[in-house]
Amino acid sequence: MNDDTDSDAPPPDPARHAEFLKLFTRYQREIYAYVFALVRDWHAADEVMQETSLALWAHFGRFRPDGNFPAWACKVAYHRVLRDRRKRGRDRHAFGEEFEAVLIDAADRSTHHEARRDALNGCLEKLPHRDRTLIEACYAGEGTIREAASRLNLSAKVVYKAAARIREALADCVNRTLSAEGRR
Amino acid sequence: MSSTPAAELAAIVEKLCWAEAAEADLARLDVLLAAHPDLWPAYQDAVHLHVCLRHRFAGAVTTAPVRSRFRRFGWVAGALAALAAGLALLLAPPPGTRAAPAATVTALLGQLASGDGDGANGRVRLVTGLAEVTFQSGAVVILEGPAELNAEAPHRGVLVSGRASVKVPASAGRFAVDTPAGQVSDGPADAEFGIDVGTDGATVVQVYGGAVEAGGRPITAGDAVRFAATESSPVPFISSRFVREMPPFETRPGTGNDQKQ
Repeated sequence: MNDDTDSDAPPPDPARHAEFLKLFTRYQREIYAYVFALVRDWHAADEVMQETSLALWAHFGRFRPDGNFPAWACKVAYHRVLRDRRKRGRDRHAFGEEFEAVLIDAADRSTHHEARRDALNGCLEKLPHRDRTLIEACYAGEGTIREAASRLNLSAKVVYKAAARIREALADCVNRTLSAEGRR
Repeated sequence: MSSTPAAELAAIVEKLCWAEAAEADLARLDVLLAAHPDLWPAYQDAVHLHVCLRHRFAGAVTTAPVRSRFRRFGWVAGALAALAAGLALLLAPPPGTRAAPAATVTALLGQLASGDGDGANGRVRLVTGLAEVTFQSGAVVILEGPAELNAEAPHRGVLVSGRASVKVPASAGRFAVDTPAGQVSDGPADAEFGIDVGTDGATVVQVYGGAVEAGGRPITAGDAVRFAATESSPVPFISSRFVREMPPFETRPGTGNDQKQ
């Protein structure tokens, strides 16, 4: 996988601003998830995402209009992740070049994730009210179990287990939905 | 230890996503994924679910490019984040009043702190990126995250931390920004200035147009001054020190740029 994002490229046509915006906003969650899966830290993911978004924009002129934007974006992100890991001295762990093929496949899955996101929206609507309230509490605010537990006046252990159960139910629902639609 | 690699992976992902994974967990995750590459899709799906829920309930997770990058590339924006449809953030009027909001977040390229979406207490806490805040008086403030601005009144804001550029048309009348180092207020004519509140409370004021008074000291266009608790001193005028315009995308609320979710 070549990182061709460092070489000079002509700036995108101003008419493509809107196209970039549309694609980026549509797939930002998929790109972010890809980044987080690799860096495994929310703050680091934010930083890599910033770098990635800049690279995507700077080199959007190279992206073919009929191309797979999330796959392209994830491949750009992959190289930003590698840089981040070098910067943080974390090369001793995890994926190295030997995982490249796996990571490319993973980037290609980002389109599949858009379908999962759509299915998730429907699954959230089907959640029992109590579960919906709990999962919202977990992700609101600072997004920590401790904060959610405090807000719900429950122990952190109870909230942690409940959140895991609800997320598992949501994942099952998403899988069932996609299977029913023949998309899985 | 969980009974299967998949179950073990799920348990680690749960910790990971709640920022509770230890180094040992991360190392174990590496081992699992290396030994079972077929777990990558499940791993990614689980992370993706987490990210979607985080985005859904806690605001956009993606961040816009920060100012320093804008400097490097000029006015090139790389990302648009938290513009869900209908995002028009009204900043609440002071307690006890029923007046129109003192200010409105009129454009956002970045992420607001959770809870600020309802404009509670007139406070804008920008975690990252840029936010344009338009005061009822007509003054326009561009915040660079991380920053915190309180819209106290149509003609007054408090920059608690971070950087901001301010444009005050003459029609807006006098406008003032309080900082930890003192008040910055403009004159009767058009004015444009930037304010940088450092982590130590020291504040740099740089004037692009018109004239302002900062800490009782007049500053005119082309000058920059650093204020601390008991002293002030001129600093070099650096044109690119502040972001003065939002990127040239159509980022206004309600444009439907974020079609999904």
